[in-house]
Amino acid sequence: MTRYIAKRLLQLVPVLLGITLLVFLIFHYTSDPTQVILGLHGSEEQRVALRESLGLNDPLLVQYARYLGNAVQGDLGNSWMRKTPVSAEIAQKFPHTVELTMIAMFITVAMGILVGVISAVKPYTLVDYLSMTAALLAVSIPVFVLGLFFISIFSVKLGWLPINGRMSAAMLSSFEPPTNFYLIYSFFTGKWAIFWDLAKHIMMPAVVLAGATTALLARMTRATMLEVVRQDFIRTAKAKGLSQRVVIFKHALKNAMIPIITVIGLQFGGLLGGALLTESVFTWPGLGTLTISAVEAKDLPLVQGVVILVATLFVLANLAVDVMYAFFDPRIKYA
Amino acid sequence: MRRTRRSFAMVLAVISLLALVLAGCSKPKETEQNPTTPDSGTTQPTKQFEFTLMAYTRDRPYNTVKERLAEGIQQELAKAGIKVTVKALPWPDHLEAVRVKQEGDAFLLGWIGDNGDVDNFLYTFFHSSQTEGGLNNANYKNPKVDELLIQAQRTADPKARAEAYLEVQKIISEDAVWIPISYGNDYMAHTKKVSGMYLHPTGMLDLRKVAVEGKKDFIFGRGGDSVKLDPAMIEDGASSQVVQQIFEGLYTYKPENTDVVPLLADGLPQISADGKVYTINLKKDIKFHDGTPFNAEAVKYSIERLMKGKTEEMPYASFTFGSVEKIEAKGDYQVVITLKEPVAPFLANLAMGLASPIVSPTAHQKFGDAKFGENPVGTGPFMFKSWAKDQQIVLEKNPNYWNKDVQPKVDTVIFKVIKEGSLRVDAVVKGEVDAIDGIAPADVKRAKDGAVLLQKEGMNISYMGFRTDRPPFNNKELRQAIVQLVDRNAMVKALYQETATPATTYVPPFMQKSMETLTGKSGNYGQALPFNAAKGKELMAKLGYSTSTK
Repeated sequence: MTRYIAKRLLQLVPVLLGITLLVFLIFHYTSDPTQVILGLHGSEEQRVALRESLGLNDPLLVQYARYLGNAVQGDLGNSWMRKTPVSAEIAQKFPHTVELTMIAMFITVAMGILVGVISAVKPYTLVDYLSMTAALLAVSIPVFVLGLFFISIFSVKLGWLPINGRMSAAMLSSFEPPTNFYLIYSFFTGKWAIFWDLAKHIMMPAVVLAGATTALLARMTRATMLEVVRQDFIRTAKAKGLSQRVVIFKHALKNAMIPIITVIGLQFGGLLGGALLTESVFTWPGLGTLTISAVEAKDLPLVQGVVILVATLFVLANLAVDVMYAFFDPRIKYA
Repeated sequence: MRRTRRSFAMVLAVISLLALVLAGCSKPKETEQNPTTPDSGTTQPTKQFEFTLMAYTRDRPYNTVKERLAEGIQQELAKAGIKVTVKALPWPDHLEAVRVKQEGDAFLLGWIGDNGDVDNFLYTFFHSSQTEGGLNNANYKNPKVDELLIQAQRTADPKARAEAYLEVQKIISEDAVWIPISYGNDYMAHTKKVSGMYLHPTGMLDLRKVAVEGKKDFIFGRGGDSVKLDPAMIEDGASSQVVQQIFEGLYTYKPENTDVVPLLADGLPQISADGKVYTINLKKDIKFHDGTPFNAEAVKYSIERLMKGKTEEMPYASFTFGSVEKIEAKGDYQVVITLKEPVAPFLANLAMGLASPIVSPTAHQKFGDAKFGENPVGTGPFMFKSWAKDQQIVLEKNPNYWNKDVQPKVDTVIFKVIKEGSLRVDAVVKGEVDAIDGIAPADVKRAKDGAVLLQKEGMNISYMGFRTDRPPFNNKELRQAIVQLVDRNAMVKALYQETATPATTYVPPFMQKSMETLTGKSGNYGQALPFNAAKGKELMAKLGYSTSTK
């Protein structure tokens, strides 16, 4: 098992090499970052000096090699726009995205599996049709449409929830947490007023973010469960006189877990990289927002940093999924 | 055998895919049919005139409809049988195509003024020195215009300057270098509880008199976060808005126009007869937020930073202080600035919110260029408190603010990011924030109905420039024809409704007005040729082009 994990982790190296090289090439062949940094006012001499100080005049391979050399030593460089270390920028944004993703994944797993199981247990009934139609809708509506729709109902019309943001402006100005895991910090320090304010802010983006994945998971669960409940060992379990609940949740669901875990794992990896559209609609100060502003500013070091993080998260999520297979199905073994 | 065939097929597939991708990336073919000068003998004008117009796909304060503006021009000119091929690009690519690669026969661009001086418009766009790497992308060269522009730069007399500028406009109008299109309005909205807010033509945000009924904090919602809070390092409005609360310059503008008035300086400068030496007295007993005294050394330090520091990262350094030869401190409360050449707009530069404010030398030395942008220390009415990136910036009232007449009324100012424009309006209507800016034309009505809407013609202009240095538009009569064939009033109304004003001259209306007041001239002196379809078609026919729409 350890050898297997080590081998898989080694695969990260070519993945990261390939993907950073790709980003490097795309940036090299699109327009000039000095236009973005200096705007319309910079003089030609300033532009020349800036290109020199950013190292843009060296051959492409030299630039790339220099970047890699620094990166393996843990130095991802400074953001061109903000002049701050890339690792610090990412470290600042990541907690916001992690908290949002955690809540969204919780909703996804709880709702997705529950709805899927109910649909599978009572197939071709009204409940089944309703939930599957809802799932189809949730998969097909673009997140920004869903987001704006929710905001216009729950914030603008009903006034139950705040329009957007991480927390109320006045509260945030007096709340100085040592970490950007706001929700976790306020929970463990018992700052309930702040926790409640944060919860109200995170609710809508989390639901919107969870929408599509929940639907996907529900449909996946239903399909696999339908398959499993027809098998002999389920009939045996029922014949032994086990209760319906034990049959469904212990025997059937456990055997339907493999594809479910695959979906959860992959979505989780993706969401941790920051949900571009959802974060943008809700002005969520996470990785998604950071990525958009970095791409707009053609801030190469910052984009590279985000790309490396996202690629790594994806590979790790995949690995976690594979390891979990063995846990749910003892027949699967890695050597 | 089968394996080789399969790999061969795969290679083929990859190559064809690559070819497809490359074909997609390559430049779109332009229909370049430069009509050569027609024979004077032809009696039957049959040729259709066509040209390529470069457009951009991002909304700008002076053009909120993006590439639809190009379509508007296309439709206007189609009425005279002229075919316009529009090439619309993303903003940075458009700038490169227009400014560096010199693509297109004509192009759309716009400008937001910096220092409130006419020079910042006319010199920037029409002086021949600005064709290389500058913004004279019409590549317009006229010795008489050059002479007048330099003359206006060298003299300090406002009336003489205004006369020169009006004359320049007259020549440009005769030469038909541009079609000036429109001035975009600036908007802000606030709740009914807010008082003391106003729009300034330069976009300057003065929050000293702002009060909120029943509240000691003021929350301002905007579309993006600041990049840096160091006045030397920024170029964007979102950074500048906050910097203006923390820092002050030697001069500032009057609330209603761009007339320069003293701020940290004590009175207007004494300018030497040759216009090169500015002697400026400073106000006394002012302290920076960190307790450092404000004095001549601090002014010298702040300005020299933009002359000798890492200026390649300071967007406005050469614009503002490029003309300065040296600055000296005479005693504690007087500085003497010597310019290389007399430059009349230099005083207006000193009033700009970007680049010219005075920083605390102690704080800047402590944090260095790298960290000062996150620990800003100035003399302004508000002090920096905290910054949660991409969320909000919090400022606190400066309890020792030097100006006893305008002590800040609120204790806290919060600049909060709300990315989505329509949600920003929702937020102010619901009272979640106290004021917002960046209101799109589509949201103007909603903001007006649900909150107090502030509206003012901005210090900007949107225009179409001709490439005057090469065919087809090196022909003056042809340019005059095109200018007269576009019904700007109707087009601007259709595209922007009430959110923009059709342009008449080459500078914003308030500048035109103050020049006319100074010189006693009137009637939009030097305005661009007005719409006149009959005259335009007559000129086109004379040049041998068909004006039939078939």
